[in-house]
Amino acid sequence: MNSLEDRLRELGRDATSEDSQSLGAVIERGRRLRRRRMVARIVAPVAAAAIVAAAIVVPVLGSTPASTSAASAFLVDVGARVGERPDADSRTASVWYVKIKHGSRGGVLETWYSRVGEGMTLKTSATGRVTTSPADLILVAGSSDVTWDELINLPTDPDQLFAWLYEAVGDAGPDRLTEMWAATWDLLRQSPAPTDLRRALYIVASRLPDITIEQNLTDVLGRPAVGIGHNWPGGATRYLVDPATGAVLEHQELIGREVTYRDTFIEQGPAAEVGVRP
Amino acid sequence: MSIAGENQQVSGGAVDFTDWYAAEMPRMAVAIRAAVLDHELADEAISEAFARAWLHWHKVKHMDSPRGWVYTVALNQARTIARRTKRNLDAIVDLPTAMTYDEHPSDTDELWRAVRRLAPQARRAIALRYIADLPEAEVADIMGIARGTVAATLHRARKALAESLTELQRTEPA
Repeated sequence: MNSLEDRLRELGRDATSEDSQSLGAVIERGRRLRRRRMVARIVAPVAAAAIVAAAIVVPVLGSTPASTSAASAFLVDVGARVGERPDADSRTASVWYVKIKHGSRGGVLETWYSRVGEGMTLKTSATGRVTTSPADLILVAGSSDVTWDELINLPTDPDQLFAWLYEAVGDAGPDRLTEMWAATWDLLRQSPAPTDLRRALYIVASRLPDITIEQNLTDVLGRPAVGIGHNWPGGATRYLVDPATGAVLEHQELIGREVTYRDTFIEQGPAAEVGVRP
Repeated sequence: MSIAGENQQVSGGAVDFTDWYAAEMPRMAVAIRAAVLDHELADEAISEAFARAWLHWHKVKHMDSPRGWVYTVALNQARTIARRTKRNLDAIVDLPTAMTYDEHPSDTDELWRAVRRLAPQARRAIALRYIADLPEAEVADIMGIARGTVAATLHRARKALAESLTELQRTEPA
């Protein structure tokens, strides 16, 4: 019979990655902390940034490893299929509703982002506990925040968008193209990005290096998906995309082949007002 | 994903942030959830603590005990979040699977139940000393109490746990 002390230590030793949290989510949180601490960092006006010469693209990509052609081709193809959100919805909406299942056994987060006022997150835990908290739409492009109004005015020409992102990420990441990959998906996954912008974001993503593709996957809700991933030492971040519509279905963090964290995007779209489901 | 600054090599080439995180996070998650019974609150605090470790990794990696630093930040964060959200650190609101009740509880289930019955200070000492497996001196630093107080708290906690386990075994259906 083990001593009481040994049995207590085993409680800790028995912890597995199931008990862990997503490294990616933690790093995102760290990035938000870093941004908050940046003093007097001026976000370049979107209109000015949009005219940055697209000529930047060629020398940057010319010196980096390419993504697989299958991944790039899929992203271009699925970008052309994006169309489930008429432009008018996100360009004129005043509230954006997002419903996410957090983790495999976790709760559900429903968030209403308000264009002008305060939004709200309603969290229903796995045990049915309901809590609410204020919510703001915070989209990130490297070291720059992007507001709702800035988002819908971003360039929709892929070359101009690439150039804008390249400038916007600044020196936030290890290298600009890795940070651009993060920023591209930040703008795609949980945002009122209009259809033409989403199409352009997929084309930008297709031009970034080191992207992998996995066919015939399903998200935690059983929806068929294609996985678009980016590897880093010891793990990967992967987004599951609906190949028919270009909708982002799930964000996964993996260590090896094991999914250690996931956010499943159940639904998103315009809502009439904060607290009212579409 | 911005997976970058976290991959700076620790001096001596031992581990980088990613490896350190993978090694420390699971055990810390279980220990902090034991120390702070509100599971959601604990997870929020842990996430914040590791985010800060990532942000300051260039300094944290050179500390005598990066692990102790993160535990300290996590417990401080838990108190801050509890104050801000008017929640009780020690309220059982959302237990992880390993800590839920079962009709035929295993020895481990019973041990978790007994840990949860402990007074907050005793439970935190047990969580840090045994579940996190931190040295007594480090537990004292993290809890902000004298080492002798930690030893006395642990002694009383072990006694209470043993009594609690005996009682639980006595009351379990055959």
